[in-house]
Amino acid sequence: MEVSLAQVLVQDALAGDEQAFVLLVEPLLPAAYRLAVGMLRSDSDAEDAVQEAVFKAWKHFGRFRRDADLKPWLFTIVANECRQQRRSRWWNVLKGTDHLEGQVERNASVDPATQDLRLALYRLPHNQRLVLILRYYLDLSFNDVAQTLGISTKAAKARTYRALERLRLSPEVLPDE
Amino acid sequence: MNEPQIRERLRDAIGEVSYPPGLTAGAVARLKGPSPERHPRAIGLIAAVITLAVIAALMGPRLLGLQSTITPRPHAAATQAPLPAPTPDVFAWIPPGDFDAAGLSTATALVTPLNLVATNGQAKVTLIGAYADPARTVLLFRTNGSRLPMDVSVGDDQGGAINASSSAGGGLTGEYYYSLDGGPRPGPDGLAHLTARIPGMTPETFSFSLNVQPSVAITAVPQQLNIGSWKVTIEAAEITPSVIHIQAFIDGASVSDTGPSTISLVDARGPAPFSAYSASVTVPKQQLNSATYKSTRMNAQWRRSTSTSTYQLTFTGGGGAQTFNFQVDAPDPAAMLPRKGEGLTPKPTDFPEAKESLNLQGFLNTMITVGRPNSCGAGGGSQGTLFAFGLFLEVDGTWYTLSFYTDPSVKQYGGPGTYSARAQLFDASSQRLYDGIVQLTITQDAHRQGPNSGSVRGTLDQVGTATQAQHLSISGSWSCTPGMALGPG
Repeated sequence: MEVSLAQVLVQDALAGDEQAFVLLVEPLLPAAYRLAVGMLRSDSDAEDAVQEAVFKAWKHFGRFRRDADLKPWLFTIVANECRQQRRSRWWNVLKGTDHLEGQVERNASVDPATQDLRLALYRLPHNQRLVLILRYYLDLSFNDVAQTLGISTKAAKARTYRALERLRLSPEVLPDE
Repeated sequence: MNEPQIRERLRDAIGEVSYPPGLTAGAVARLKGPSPERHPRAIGLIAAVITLAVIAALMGPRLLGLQSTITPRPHAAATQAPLPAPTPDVFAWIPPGDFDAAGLSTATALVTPLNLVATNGQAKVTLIGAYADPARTVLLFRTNGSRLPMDVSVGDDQGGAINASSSAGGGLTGEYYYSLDGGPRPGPDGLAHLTARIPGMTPETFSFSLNVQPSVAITAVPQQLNIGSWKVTIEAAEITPSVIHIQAFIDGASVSDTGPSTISLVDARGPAPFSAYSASVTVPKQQLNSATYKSTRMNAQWRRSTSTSTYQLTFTGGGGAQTFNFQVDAPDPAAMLPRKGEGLTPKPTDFPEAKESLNLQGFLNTMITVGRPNSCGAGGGSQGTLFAFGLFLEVDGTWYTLSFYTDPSVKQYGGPGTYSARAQLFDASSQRLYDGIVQLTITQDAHRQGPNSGSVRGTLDQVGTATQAQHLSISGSWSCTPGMALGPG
């Protein structure tokens, strides 16, 4: 029976081998970081979120089904961690909306339409912003987006459509995959 | 609007990011910390604080001699408390994971332990240690579960803020490092008098003094060189206790003409990853014109290896390239505090030599004719019987461990034959570099009576980012003799 390295690592990680877990998640960290930056708009907050998410993923790895795809599983945890961080005290003290607007206005090299879009994106509810980041910043398929959000592919498309309309990026019909 | 257009607009709005080099190490270090709900270190920490307080009370007068050279500051600040010089006990105060995350594993004895506290309501930040050399200033913080505030700024009394790029990351639970890619300027007394400001905390400023650890110049790199059409002035080529550091002024190149590929450092394991890299204009942005635009200052750093290594430093650009070779000795043992358990681990040379004929290709390109087996033979495990063979091997002065063991869940070991086996290559610090499944043939299994031998064939995949090569292929024959110290795996 052929056993892939990934299968061996999942088996080892489920048995408590921390290094096997690291080997599994390491290739996903750049995308996880990108997701966190997209959600939190701050590099250092994103680093914190990814580190905390990896820690929580390891702590709860016993719940991971060995035949499941690790990527959406980890991304769900990263997204939840981003939501947690935005609710935390430091975020509220240091990263209020006023702070964001000031930051954007100071950045003269970005054209006004892009600045407006950025502000509008960060004012979207968490779930709508998340679906856009997953689809357009991480280039996930709708199937992977759906798995990350724990919803059907059809619902993921509908949510994407609604979020884009809210940003006035009227989409054409979204493709089937 | 179609999907590619939407994607482009959203990406413009969010901006592009580059992956922080310390994030993987930080995430791994975070794993090693206990969960917040059960924090066994807490009791040890309290004991350590009490111990340090007692030692400080006993040694205070001697240590205060150093403190008295510091000019009192007019503003309210948490000032340096007298603490003993670093000893192995410092790991009770600053856990090894913090040093590793901050890139200070080779300079643990050179970190000054501190205990400066600032609060804001329930939030508490403690500066637990600091380190400085000509290339870096590193602060280690502990929080009571809050995240480290983002707006930390660090300055010295020789000219205000240290103007350098910075990075931050997590060590263990609630612990953070803040690293500036520039060193502080020492005062007339030889010490750097630093202030770290954290807005919103009380007090807002920590004041403390540090030794700036000396560096050694890399003499193989000349001060001036021409690379194609570029004129390069080497402003710093040095080895500090924690990093290899190159700073260059490039006349003839704009910032966008340069990039991480402009400078590379390669050792026997392949290209070394940057621990810091930045390129910037050399004048204030308001003074940029057609002449000043074409000059760039580049700062590159790589973490030091724990062993002696030979490096090839290459500058590429302007239509040319130049390479310099130099050796970096293993860090001064006095700069590294012994960690618990170190000194007890057997050394490769503790194991007898055996003849091998293993051809390695990819990450290592060499024929191994002699190894030092550290496991050899069959044995029972929880899943059944397996056969294990492992050895230390030396390539260009660097020791690696290569291990094989058959997988009893695939096939129970039942004597000579060919088995699917897990193969792994580790570096000297037991970091797994390559991992894969190979075909391991056991030709002779003499149990404990004589040598075992066989052959192996397969390819291992790269693990992590410590190396550049994607694969390591192994083929050839092996031998080992079971002994008292060599169990099955």
